[in-house]
Formats: sequence, structure tokens, C-alpha cells
Amino acid sequence: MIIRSISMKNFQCYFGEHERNTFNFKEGLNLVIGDNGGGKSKLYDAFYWVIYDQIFNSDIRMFQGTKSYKEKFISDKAKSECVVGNDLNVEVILIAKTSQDKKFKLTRIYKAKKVSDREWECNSSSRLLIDECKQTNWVSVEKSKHEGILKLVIPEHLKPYMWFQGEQVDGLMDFSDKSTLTNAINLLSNITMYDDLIDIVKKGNDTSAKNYRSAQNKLTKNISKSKLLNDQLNQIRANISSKSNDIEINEANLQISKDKIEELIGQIDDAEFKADLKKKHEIAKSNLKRSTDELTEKYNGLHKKLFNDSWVLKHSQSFFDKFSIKYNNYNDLHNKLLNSGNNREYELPIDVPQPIYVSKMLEDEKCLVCNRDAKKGTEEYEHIEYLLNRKNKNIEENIFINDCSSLFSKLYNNGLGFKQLISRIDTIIADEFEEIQRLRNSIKLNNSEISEIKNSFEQLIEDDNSENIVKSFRTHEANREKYESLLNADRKVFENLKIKAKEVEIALDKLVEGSVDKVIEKSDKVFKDLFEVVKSTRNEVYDTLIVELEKKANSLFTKMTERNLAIKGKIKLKKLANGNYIPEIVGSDGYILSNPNDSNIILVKLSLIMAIIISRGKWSENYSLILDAPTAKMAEKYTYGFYEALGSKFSQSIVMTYDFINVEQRNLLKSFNVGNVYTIESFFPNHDSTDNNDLEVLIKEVQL
Amino acid sequence: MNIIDKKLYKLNPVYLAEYEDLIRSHSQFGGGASENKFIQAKSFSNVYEFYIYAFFIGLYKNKKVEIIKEDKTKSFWELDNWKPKELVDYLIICAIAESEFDMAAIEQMEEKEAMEHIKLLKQEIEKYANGGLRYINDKLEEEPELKDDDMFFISLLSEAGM
Repeated sequence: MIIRSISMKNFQCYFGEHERNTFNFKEGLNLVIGDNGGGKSKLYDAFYWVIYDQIFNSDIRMFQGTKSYKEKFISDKAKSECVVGNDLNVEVILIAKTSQDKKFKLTRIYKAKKVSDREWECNSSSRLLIDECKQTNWVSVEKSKHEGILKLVIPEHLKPYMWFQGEQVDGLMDFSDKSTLTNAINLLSNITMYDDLIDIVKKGNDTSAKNYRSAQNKLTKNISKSKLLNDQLNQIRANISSKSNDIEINEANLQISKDKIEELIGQIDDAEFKADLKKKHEIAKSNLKRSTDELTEKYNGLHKKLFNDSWVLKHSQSFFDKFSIKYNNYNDLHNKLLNSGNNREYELPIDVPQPIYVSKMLEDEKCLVCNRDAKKGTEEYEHIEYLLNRKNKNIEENIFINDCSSLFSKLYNNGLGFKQLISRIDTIIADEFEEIQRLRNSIKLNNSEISEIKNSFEQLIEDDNSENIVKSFRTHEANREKYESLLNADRKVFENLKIKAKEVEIALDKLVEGSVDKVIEKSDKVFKDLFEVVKSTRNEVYDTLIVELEKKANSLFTKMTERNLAIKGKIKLKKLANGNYIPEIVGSDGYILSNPNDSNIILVKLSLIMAIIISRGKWSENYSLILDAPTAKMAEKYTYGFYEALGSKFSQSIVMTYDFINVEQRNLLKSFNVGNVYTIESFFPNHDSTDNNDLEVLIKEVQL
Repeated sequence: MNIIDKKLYKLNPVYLAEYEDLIRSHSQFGGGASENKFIQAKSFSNVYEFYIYAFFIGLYKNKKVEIIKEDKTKSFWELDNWKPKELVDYLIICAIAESEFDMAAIEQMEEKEAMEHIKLLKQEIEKYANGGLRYINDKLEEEPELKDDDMFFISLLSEAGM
């Protein structure tokens, strides 16, 4: 709801009737300007009390209910003027309007009776009345609807982000708590719905996988093997889960080391040199990765080359030569047997040369082997004709029980085909090794460059800081290397376990006789796919939210800081290994700002809070932002940017502040989207500023 | 295709059971292995690849291990399933070259006798392959750090003919 007015009767320092303690508010930036002790926080208390029946006790930094406060709610002046035996009422009335133009009046009343000069008989609780404006009359709303209307004023989950005091900001956006931003993002988005969906689909996935496996087991043709494989599969899955945890832990540890290194580098003063080193570091890292990947690929392919490129035949030529002699002898014997009984001592095997060429010779009347004429009718022509018409004597006369000539000829020709390749294998292997050496050199070079850069960083830190910091840098660098190596090993094992699980699943599938019920099979597949889809969708939605939030927070941050020319960096939301995000302020060189001042930190926090609220358009349009002293820790030049952003980004904001106490400063407000501006100050009619029994608050509306 | 052709590629060479661990730790097996086998990438994607490799190492180094009846052995796939085919034929060429296999005589043998004769090739293949396996095993036992050397098998091949 948009708040129209708040008025108080005898509420803490606000002595007297509602008429003299009323603030009216418009849309835009509403300011209540007052010095310390002027009643600003008491006004914030009034907002809070009317809705939640609680006020913030700054002594113990906690919200306390009416029951604990009792007569302390009541204005000292009202208490002192009250006659023993009389009752005193404390009241706060808040009038607010919904986006549908419904107007409600919320009245909280607390009653106490003065029984002696110092003693009060107090009700244990306050009473809330709610009226709705119907045409021109206020009509009482039944109690059962109160809760719903209170939520319309400010929903409970938004309260911490839309109604807060400056001193609460640290707790609200505690950067040391890694889940702070995640909680805020959960609030601003419907991401928890995706998480719920993942849980539901996971349960379905587990059940359908179990059903499928159980159906398969019933159809197995080998119960004992199936049991063995199932046990194996369960063990592998347990190992996968355990390895996944190891990966998570090592990723978190690696992130910590990287953060610490960045933080320490951030402490170096020489920004230009630092940026140069960072650039060189990135190039060397990228080159190193490329060479390492190429080398890994080479190694992985190397053993395949033993077979696919026949490297394994490297020293085999002499054995082929030996075979050739054996084959030659065999061939002689074979042909001798084949030609026995013929006049010719030596004859070509059947179909050599191939009949197609022999026919061609007859057609051309020429021998294509010796290039001599073989005219029809001559002895030469007849000889060629004989070659074509020869019968396989072996088949006809059964010379060989097992004619292996084709087989041995195939082996011989195959061996012959490798001859050229074998003579080149040494050169091919040498070239491959040369390439491997080149990659190794590149890795060595880049590693040494990275090491040099690390030393330069160390030197810079040493120049700027104490020896302890250098030691710390070295420790974190060593940790980074250790966790990177552990992670690589873990990931390799993890991937291999997944392959192994798949292998066992395939082995189990092979044991199945018949087919599993189609519904069960389909259900398993659908749930598997669905599980992957919901997980990836959730991550995409979440990452998009982060990008938008970072963009909005930076836009606010820039607006708030534009009047200050000092280096202020920009907000970067960094993803942690466990999926949480934390905000960082980074300089133009990409490094975390080492000592951002308090003003910067509070601005980042406020930027994020405001970005969260405006990310949900309706929140900043439908609800009033109520802040008490939000700029308490902010440098003066930032505050104007902050107020300007409030005026332009929220339909209504009500800010209690000591900014603009100085009348001249208020000129600036003219350019902002301002609603009503009030000043408040303590007023003692009897001029004794030490006497609280004389305290009233003087409220004045300011005309800009 | 005659009976010799068929039977030749149906040969199913074996390895000594004592090299089971060696083979399992360097080649992809059809399952049933411990988690450790996945930590180290496999050099050979099949048992027959490792077997072919071991055969040539045995051949080049002239390392032979005769397998006798009493030996505990393990079989895997028959030659027909080994790949690449051309390399398998080359391996047969070498087995023929080194063995007492008589190319001409087998053409005159009755089936039973011919089958016995073909076994000479199986024995020759087994002799060098197991000789190679023993050589590799001994090397790795002598210098256990070689197990972590990605280039071990390539280096061994380079020195094999020297």
C-alpha cells in the first residue's frame, strides 16, 4: 500500500493528540528531517508498532513486543500530566491506500492506568482496529480480515528489505554470510519453485529408475550375475556420490585460495603494473591450457596410432622378408604340382593374367606382356587362347586337398602393401614426437612465465606490505595448485565412474530375457530426461536473475556515486563453488578493491537491496519504502545520489534523516521527485531541555 | 574359401593367467574391474590390442614363452574379431615366417591333420605374445614408476628392435 498519513497520540516523545502529531505523505520521496534525538526513530517505531505490535529496542538491538515495553510507550509529558487513577491512551493511526484505491485506517491503541506517581497498571497487549473507507465513512473491518490487510500494507517477507533502519543494513546484507545474497535472490524470484520442482522430479526419477531395475531383475536370465552387477552398480553410485562431495569440497577450497590471492593482489598500489601483470597472466594461462589440451589429445591418440597407423610394425620388415622367401618356395612347389604333366616347366597360375586382359590380347592380336604381335592362326595367338581356356586342373584332378594359394597370396600382397609405410614409420614417429616436444616446451615456457608473474606479484606485495602477507600469498598459491590438482584427479575419477556405471547398466540390460513393461521403461526414460531439463532450466533462470540483479545494482550504484569522482569500482556478483553468490567491489583492473571505504560498502548494500526490490516491479510501485537514517555511514556526496535514486525508482519512500538539516542543502531537493518534506525538533515549552516531562515534538511542513 | 581359411581366423590364442592383472590394468575390459582401473587412462581399448602389441614386442625382442598343457590360461576373442584386419594378417605372416608351418604341405593334408598343423600358428602367436607380456611385466616390476609413464608402451616399441 501507499501510505497517506501517520499520526500519533502520546506515542513516546510525540506528546498530545493526533492533530498536532500528523504527517501526510504523497507519492515520491517524503522526508522527515530532524537532528539526533529529534524523534525520527520514534516515528519509525510508530510505523512498525502499528503493523507488527513491536518496536526496535536499540539498547539490545532487538524488536520487542508491547508486553515488554508497557508504560514506556507513553509520552513522559503525558504521564506526568496524568492524574492518579486516570487512564492514558497511546495511539498510532496509519492511513494507507491500495493500488485498487481502497483506503484503510489502522489504529493501534494501548491503555494504561496511573495508580500512583510512579506506578502504572498496564494492559498486557495493545488493540488493533481497522476501518475501511466506504464513500465518505469509515466502516469497521472484522477482526478475521485484519491479518490480510496488514499484509497488504507491507508483506512480511518484504519487510526486511523495505522497512529498515540504517543500523540494520549491516545485518541485513552481511557479506560475511555467504547465503545472504542467495536468500535475497530466493525472495525476489520464484527460484524456490524450481528447487521444489527438482525435488519432486528427483523423487519420481529415483522411483522410476528403481521400478525399471526391479522389472529388469525379474526378467534376468542369470540371477546371481544380475545380483552381482546390481551390487556393483550400487557401489559405483555410492562412489559417484562420494566423489561428487569431494569435488564440491575441493572446488570450495580452490575458490577460497583464489579469493585470498585476488585479495592480496588487490592490496598492491601500482595499479598500472598490476593490470599489465594480470593481462600477461591471463594470456599465459590461456596458452598453457591450449598446449596442455593439445598434448593430452596427442597422448590419448598416441596408442591408437600403434594400430591405426601401424606403428606396431616398426621393426617387422625382416619378418616379412622371411615370409617372402617361404612364400616363394611354396609358390614354386604349388605351381610345379599344378603344372605336372604339362610340357611347360613353368606356368602362370589359372586366371593370371586376368581373363579380361587375355581377351583384349586376342581382340588386338597382340601380347600385352611382351608387346609382340600374335596374329590369328599363329602359334602366339594359340598360346594366348590356351591361357584363356585353361581349366583349373586342381578342381578337375583334385591336386590339392586344401588349395591355399588365394589365402597365401592375399597375405603376401597385404604384407607387400605395408612395405612403403614401414620404411616411413620412423620418420612419422619422429615428427609426432617433435610436435609433442614442441607442446611440452610451450607448457614449460608458459609455466615459467606464470611463475615469474607470481614472483612479480610477490615482489609487489613485499614492496607494499609486510613479510607476513608475502608468506600468506605463497601459502595460498601453494593451496591453489594443490586443490587444482586434486580437482583434476577427482573429475577424472568421477567421469570414469559414470562410464563404469553405464557399462554395468548395459551389462544388466544384456541379462534381460524378454522385454520390460513399456510403461515402466518409458517412465524411466521420461523422468531421466525431465530431471536433466529441470536442473538446467533452474540454473539458466538463476544465472539470468544474477545478471539482471548485477546490472540493476550497478545502475543504482553508478547513479548514487556519480557526484563523487573518487575511485569506487563496480559491483560484481561472484559465483561460489557451492552455487551461492557473493557481492564484490572490483576496480577497473578487475581486482577486488582492497580497502573499500564504509561509504562504498553501505552503497553496495543499499544498491543490492534496492535492486532486489525494483527487480520485482510491483514491489517498488505498490509498497512504500520506509527508512530511518539510511545514510548514517555514507559520505555526504553519495547521499544526494541516493535520494535522487529513491525518488526516481520508488512510487513512494518515506525517509527519516538528518540530511538537509541545513536549509541551503534543500535546494537540491527541488530537482528530485519529492513528495512532502517535514522537519521535526524537540520542543520544551518550559525551556528546560533536560526535563523529559516537558518534551514535545514540533512538526513543521517545509515548502521547497 | 577353403577350410584352412576358415579355421585360421577361428584361432583363439590365449595368455597365461598370471598376466591377467597386467592386461586388465592396461586395456579396457568388459566389466568386473575395481574402481582403480578408471583412475589411470587405458593405453589399449581392447584386450586384443594389447595382445597384438605384446606379440610384436616378443617378436622384436625374441622373447618366447611356450605354453604347456598344465599352464593356467585365459582366452578372449578369436582372430576374426581382432582389428584392424590388415594388421592381423601381418601378424599371421610373421607367425608363418617364424614357425614350422609348412605352406605347401598343408595343401595336401586331410582335415584333422591340417587342423593340427594350423595349431602351429596359434602356438607361435601365443609364444611371442606371452613372451612380450612377460617382458612388459618384468619391466614394470623392475621399474614401477613406469606405470605412470604415459609414453611407456611407445618407448618400449622404439627400443624393441635395437
